[in-house]
Amino acid sequence: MITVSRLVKTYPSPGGSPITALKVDWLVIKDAGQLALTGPSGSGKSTLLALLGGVERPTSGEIRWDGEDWPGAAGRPPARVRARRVGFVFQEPDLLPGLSLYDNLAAAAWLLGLPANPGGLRERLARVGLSGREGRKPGQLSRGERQRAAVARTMLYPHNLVLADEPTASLDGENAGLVLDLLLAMSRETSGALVVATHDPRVMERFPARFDLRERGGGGA
Amino acid sequence: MSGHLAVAWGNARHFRRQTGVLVLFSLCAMLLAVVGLFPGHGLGEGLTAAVRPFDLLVGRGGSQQMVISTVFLQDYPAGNLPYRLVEELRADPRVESAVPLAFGDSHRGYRLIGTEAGIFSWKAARGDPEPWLGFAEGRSFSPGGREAVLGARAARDLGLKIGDLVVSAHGMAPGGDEHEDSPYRVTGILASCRGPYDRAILVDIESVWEAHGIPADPGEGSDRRQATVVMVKPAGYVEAYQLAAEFSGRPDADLVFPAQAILRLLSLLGQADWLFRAVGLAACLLGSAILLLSLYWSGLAREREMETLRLLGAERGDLALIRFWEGVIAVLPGLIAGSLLGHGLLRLAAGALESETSLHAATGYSLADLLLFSPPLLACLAAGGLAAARLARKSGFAPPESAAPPRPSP
Repeated sequence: MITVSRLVKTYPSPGGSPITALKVDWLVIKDAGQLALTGPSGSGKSTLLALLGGVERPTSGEIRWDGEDWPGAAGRPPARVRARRVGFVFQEPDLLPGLSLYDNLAAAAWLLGLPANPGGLRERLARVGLSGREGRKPGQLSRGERQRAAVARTMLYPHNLVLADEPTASLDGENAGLVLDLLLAMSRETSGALVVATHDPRVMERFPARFDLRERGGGGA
Repeated sequence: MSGHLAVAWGNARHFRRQTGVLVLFSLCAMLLAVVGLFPGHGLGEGLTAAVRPFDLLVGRGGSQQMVISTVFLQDYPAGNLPYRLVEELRADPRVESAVPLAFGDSHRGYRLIGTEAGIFSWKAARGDPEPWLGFAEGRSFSPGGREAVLGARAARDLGLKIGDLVVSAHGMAPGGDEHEDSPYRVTGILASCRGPYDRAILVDIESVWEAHGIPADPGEGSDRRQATVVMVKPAGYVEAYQLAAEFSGRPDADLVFPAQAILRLLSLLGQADWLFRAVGLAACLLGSAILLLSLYWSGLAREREMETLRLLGAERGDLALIRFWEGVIAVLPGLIAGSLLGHGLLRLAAGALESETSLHAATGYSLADLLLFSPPLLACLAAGGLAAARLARKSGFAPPESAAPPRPSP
């Protein structure tokens, strides 16, 4: 379970006084919880995802993961520890352009320290409807296919938490539905929490819990 | 293939144009470095090796002219000496041995040198196990006979073998009047001495005199026998300088230390060589610096990929290694091709020089070649390290839609 309390993130500005990017009084995300983060652009959705992902340190307040400070006193956890705990999906599918889909998944598996399992990688791609396209480069695929490949990559490891930043914003309705289905199914199967930042009402309504950052109060899933 | 190398290989193939430019740039930098840095040393070694058999020369004219005409068989000698000077030198206790050389005739552009059979036991340096001019086949010319011994290159170029006839001609350029009535029969062919004497045709000096109507035995008459230069091996260093001091006061002959003349020549060449080396070194170092900047900038342009790798679990070391391998994949083929091409050009140039002068300029790979590879490969390593360090300093992630600085909440 992740608990967030009195979380503030500010950034220095050229004018002098720091800019407050995020202010959250409290937030609780249970194991297997599914939460939609909402709010307009600039409300701090991406900043909150970065803080929950351990990519950034809060200016004040704290995030505790199963009672322990996250991302820890050192500021940043080792990359592999974080990558095993937290999976990311972005609005723009961030596949490595020089590698085939299969090699993208193989590279991710290697970085996670997973044993080589070609069959497992192909099975993940088949699961997201990309069977037979293993050898294609990201540039040879549609945006929807690339996003599904990014989800397949996240499915390589049972992450405790998957953070998705507007994962359907650039997709057509059919692909958006597919990607969302995959993310929600993955969360259920692995009992990992899923937090999706979105301003799409069709996405919001698929989530049992929502947290609107404009309210600056508290929430949970 | 390791994970780092696999990712780097995929990236290098994907960014073909950038990789191609780096390959081409590395090739040019290495080519310039090899061509600039190595020929001076090889030429210097060739000149030094060529002069090694000649301790002292006694002849006429300045030292440069004497060395160029005698050691390198180029240009024309200043004049002749009376043969009695050879006998005088042989009788001198400060002289270990003396061999005359008479220039003036040639065969199809190859110099015919009148000398004595003692030249075939002449050693380039005391303690050498083999003589300077060793036989590949056949034997020496016999005293007074019209026989010839060919240098390795002369035999090959002229297509002559033992038993063939050589007709000498006046002068050292092709086209002179030939002594058709008195040809030489080839009795020996020398092994290559890797120097200008590979192009020589050696005959007995008496036969040269006879061809010019000078009796080998002066008898009671006037002695018209001549040599152009005398190779002298002194008994020791002290004796060499005593002889030099004595000859400095003589009007009829000059004594030179060929090694000193070569040192002066190398010193002159060294000034040009210095410029070449500076260009070569600059090509290597500046090329490496440009590589570093180029790799670093390309890393900045592709920072999002690095961030993706970081979020997937890549540590700083992994990122640095991936960038290093990307650099190596782009740079190493160019370096190898540049090195091969550079050495190929040097070999061609050395071949052309050897073909003209039989001066053997050393070419080939050495430890210095490996050292030349170090700066560009270090540049790849530094580019990888800098990219990883820069990414480690950054916080947050920057997917395209959140790349702009955060704005305050309303």
